[in-house]
Amino acid sequence: MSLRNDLVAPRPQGGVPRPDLGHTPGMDPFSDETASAQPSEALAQALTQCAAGDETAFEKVYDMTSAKLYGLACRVLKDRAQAEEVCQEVYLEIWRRSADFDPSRGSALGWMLTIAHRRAVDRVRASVAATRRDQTYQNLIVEPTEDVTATAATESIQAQQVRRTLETLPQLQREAIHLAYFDGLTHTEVARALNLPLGTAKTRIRDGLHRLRTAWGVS
Amino acid sequence: MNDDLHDLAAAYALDALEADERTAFEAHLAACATCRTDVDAFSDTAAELANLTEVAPPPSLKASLMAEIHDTPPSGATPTQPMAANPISERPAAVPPAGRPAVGHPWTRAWFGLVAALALIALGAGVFVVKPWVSPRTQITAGDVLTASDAVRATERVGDATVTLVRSNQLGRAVLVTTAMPAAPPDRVYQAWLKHADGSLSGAGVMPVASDQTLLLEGDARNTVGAGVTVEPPGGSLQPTSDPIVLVGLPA
Repeated sequence: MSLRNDLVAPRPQGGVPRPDLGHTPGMDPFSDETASAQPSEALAQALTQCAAGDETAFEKVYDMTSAKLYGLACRVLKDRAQAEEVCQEVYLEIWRRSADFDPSRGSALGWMLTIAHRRAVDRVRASVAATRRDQTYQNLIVEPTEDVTATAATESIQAQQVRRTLETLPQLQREAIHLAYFDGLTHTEVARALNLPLGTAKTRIRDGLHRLRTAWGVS
Repeated sequence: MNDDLHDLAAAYALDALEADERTAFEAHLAACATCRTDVDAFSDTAAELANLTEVAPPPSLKASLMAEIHDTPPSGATPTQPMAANPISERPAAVPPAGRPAVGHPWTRAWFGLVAALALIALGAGVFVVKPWVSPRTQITAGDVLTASDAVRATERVGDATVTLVRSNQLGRAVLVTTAMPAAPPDRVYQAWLKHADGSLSGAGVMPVASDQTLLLEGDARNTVGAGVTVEPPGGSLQPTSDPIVLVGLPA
């Protein structure tokens, strides 16, 4: 697991503490050496056990991740019933493909969310007609970051950390990433929504994600 | 190296590429280790954003999933080989996949029973047996193969054209990625073939007419040693009727 070892290295100057969701840097010196000492380790271990058909391990995986996967699907699809359907498909795919998870390439949660995001976005694109999407752009332009910037009193510490880092991005990069990730727009659609040339939208998405990657120390 | 394609790793990780760009980038990923590393890191970066949208799902979702997985073994632990015309000689349960325990799973015994039952049905009816354990919602895609953790790759050049073969034993499928392929002769098509360890070739599909494409090959690709492309009459052939114009070998 070279990635985790890399993350033990000191962060670059100006780095922002990375929320604990995927790779937790370092190990607690006072804990025993079981993987359950860190949620991300425990998740990776449970996911690996799924590949052997361990249904109890799958239940653990579900309990540790379902709010994140379902919440993301709700956000992208803007419809709870559809989000539920997508989650059903996604978790079944995760169960079936659990042997494909490779901890040396990234976090278990990252692997799972990638599958969930792809499914949710593909469903949005398949089901939403072009006219409907144009209306959606209008709504997005008016209030592109309404739901996410509204600070919830019950927000998790991780969410607060993520939000603080996002706020360090230039607004235009933040908006572009927001529209792509949470609203499932392609970069062509992001360009149209923000009334930008396509090349500019692409650059904002790329530079914004680069900044986040650096800030969170993802190697 | 294509600088434009390298630049797409971040947008790919956000699922922000158009469908045709996604296909092209996945083909590029097959051959570019730098971009595979970038995509892995960007995917983990994007995943952090999901901290902002947590919502607890209804309890019914968990109940329904637990029931569903009980009837659906993970792919690494279950045979995914299609039933062939002779199911007796292809009992996949007799050869557990490497690295997986041969016994001890509750459904292993169920699997033996299922295979036996299917074999009897197939013999009695003289027909092909469908794959009831493969849900149509979880079909393997070319992208799955290209990004599989156990994917192995090899590339051959013929003139300006490149043909890359990517195979995943875990998924049991292979993908052929071509760039700059010249058009087939008039009234002829390209047909792909999987090469097996005994040297035999099995038909893996007639290739669409396109110089750059990513094609999920038909057939069980586990432990295949390569893939080739031949020029065939329209519709393809049951056996190659000409020598392959390109043959991509994989390490054993």
